[in-house]
Amino acid sequence: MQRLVAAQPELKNQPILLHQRDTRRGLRVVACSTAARRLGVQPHMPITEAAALLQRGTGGRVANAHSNSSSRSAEQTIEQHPGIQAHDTAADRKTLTELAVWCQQFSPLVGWETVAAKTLERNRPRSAGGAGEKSSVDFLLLDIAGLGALFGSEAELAERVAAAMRRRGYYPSVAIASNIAAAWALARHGRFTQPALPRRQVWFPEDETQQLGRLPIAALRVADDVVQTLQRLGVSRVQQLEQLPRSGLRSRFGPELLLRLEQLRGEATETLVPYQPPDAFTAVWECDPPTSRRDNLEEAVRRLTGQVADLLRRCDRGAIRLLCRIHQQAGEPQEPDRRKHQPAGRQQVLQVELFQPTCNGNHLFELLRMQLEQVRLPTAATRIELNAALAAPLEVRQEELFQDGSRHRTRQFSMLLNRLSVRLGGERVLRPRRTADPQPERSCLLEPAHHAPRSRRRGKQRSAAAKRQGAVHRPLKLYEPPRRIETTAVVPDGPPIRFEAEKCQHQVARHWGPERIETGWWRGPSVRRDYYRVETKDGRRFWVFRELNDNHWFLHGVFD
Amino acid sequence: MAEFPRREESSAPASAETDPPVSAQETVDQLQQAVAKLERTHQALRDTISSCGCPALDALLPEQGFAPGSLIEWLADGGCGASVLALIAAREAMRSGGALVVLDRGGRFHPPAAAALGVELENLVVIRAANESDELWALDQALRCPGVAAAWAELQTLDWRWFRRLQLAAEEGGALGLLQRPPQVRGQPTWAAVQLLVRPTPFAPPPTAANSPTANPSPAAAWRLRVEVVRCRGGRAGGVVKIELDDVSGALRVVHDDALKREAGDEPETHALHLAAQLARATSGRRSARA
Repeated sequence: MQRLVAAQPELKNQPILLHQRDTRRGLRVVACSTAARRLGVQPHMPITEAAALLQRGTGGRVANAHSNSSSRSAEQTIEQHPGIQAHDTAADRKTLTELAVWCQQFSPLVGWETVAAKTLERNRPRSAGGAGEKSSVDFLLLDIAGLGALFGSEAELAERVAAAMRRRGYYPSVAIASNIAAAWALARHGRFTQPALPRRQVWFPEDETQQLGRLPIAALRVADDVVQTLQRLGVSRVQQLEQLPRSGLRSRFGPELLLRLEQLRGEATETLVPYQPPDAFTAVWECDPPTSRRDNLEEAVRRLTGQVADLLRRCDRGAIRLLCRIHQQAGEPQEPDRRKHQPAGRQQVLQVELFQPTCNGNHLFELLRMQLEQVRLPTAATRIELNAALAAPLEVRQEELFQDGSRHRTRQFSMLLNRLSVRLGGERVLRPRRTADPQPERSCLLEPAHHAPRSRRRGKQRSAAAKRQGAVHRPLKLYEPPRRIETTAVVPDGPPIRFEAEKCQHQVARHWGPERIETGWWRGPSVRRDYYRVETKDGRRFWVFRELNDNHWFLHGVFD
Repeated sequence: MAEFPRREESSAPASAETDPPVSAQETVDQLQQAVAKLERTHQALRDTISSCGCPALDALLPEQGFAPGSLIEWLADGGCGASVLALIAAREAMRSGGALVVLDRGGRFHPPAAAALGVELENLVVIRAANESDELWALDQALRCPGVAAAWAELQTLDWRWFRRLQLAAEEGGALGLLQRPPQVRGQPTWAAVQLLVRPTPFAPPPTAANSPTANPSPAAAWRLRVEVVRCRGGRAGGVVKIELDDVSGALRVVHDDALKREAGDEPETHALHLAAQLARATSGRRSARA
């Protein structure tokens, strides 16, 4: 809710409520502001009832054209009232993430924790949401060990954090303690210990143990039913809970209660998981003044690739996809381009896909430069952004003292494939892959080199099978599709004696075959061919076949 | 008198240390090797000379094989078997590791045939360029890469400048460049280290089986090719060898002249003593068919 208020300041004193769909009971109110509460809205109230209350409360400001049924007017109120919003946990989390990153100015280790919704129905955030305002958002933890000296004292640090957040439009409740559980408890329920202190901030130098003892049981982050059971037993403060025998507590309430107690006292450890924003490998260059000169742009791109490569290397990652955006000036292009109609976009995007992750700045720059050469800039470029959109961990290999060169060769080879794919296109750099198809033109597929290679073992087996067939049994050149040849005389059960190929007549001197190749019926219309290897009187060799279905002769390949 | 033996004794151990060449021929050989090393501008990663698959053909070449980092030109028409020989040479070059890059602009290359000859398909990359300039650029890049053992391309026309560029790229990268050219380029200036002309030899059936044309004589016979060294750098050109490509094993064997004589009956190909008789006989028809 505070996020909404921070985003839309006009809602500051209006009644606001957040609703969420409950699986069993429909739309329910999850949280509401003080103004809404004054009108009578309570959590877990059905949304229609709450909307009606709001509508009545605001004096029917929302216009209702149809007032036939109360439900319809309530629905309209729900849609039209600006204060009624769906509870968007994703947006909340995103805002909290941004806050966490922003809080890194105060402490290098900022974590945010979720108090699970199942154990606690009311999630009290530590530094978002004051008393009375509920939202199921998590809380932020800052580790300030040793940082007090930087800000004067720890108290001042806390003050500063609170003031900064208030300026952003939030209402934090801040507390300092020696462990996570105590800090959370104090931030949430601190007013029980020192009612005189203002609500916004709580601070504890010493006598922590005593103050902690005065906290209610709800400050222990245990489930509501446990709290209620203890209250029925007359235990309402931590102090009283501690006086009970531990074994009895464990058997009745499970180990969690004891764990929480120990965490509060600092006996059990609880760790802070610092928030790490996902690595963004981005570098930006502002062209001041805007330029469209090729060498300036190349120099800028070179520096940017150097920076991005450094960022990647520090995180031991390599780029797989690199995106370069060139923002251009708006305006009329200086030279109208009549040959190629340029889309009137304000930015051009160059994309480079890599074969293997690499953080080699020179190689990346080389690939980008090849793409840059083909780019035409009608207007001057104002800004260049380089971003490694996809990054993968680098393969770290130990450098040997006496290199045999094979690793260097493999790396160079993958760089060669990168270069070729970028310049010629990914679909023109191919690797063969054998298939089990008997039809010769389909027995080997050529796939782009970017695809994952198959296992080694399979390849070796297949080549062994091919060797068994004979070394020169398949032609190196295959015509796609097979060429129909005119035959004059045919040897019975043999190839034609004379045929025409490559614009001249050939006479067959020797032949080998037939080799019958048939495809299965499951593949569609069956292909039945009798293949012959023929040698002409000149000594040239060709691969011809007769299609058995219609008795036509075709030339399929040349043994070049 | 007593001094002479001592002087001889003193000179004998000195000669054993320096080991002077025994004959002038050895000196010439050593100097030739030194000159060849100086001529090679870049020390290739692969220092081994790769064989071309046939020892007889290797013997005709000055370095007893194909030196890495050079271009080899195969001049042949279609269907003559030059590509098979080129791929066998590529297979030999790949023995010390590396990939084979095939430039296939026409889109007709059939990889299983290469696999049958012994080329591992994992180390094979096929590049289908859109136009000639792209293909030449890709060939240049492939030859320059140390990870490539051999690159094979079919080039009908080749600009002089591009030829030189390819040769320099091959020298720098240490790859073997196998270029398939049409036989009409014979006689044109070339930057290739070796230029080989490949022609198939027509199979002449033995006279006993000439009566039945439909019979298939000797079905296990191999493919006979005639390979001529048209040009080679640092060696003597003009060497001709007839080799036989076995269909099943893919091995290359040299065919001796007397074996040919036995098969062809009384028609010797080259025999100095019967030269006059050959000139008298009307074999001009066969010569023009082959030329």
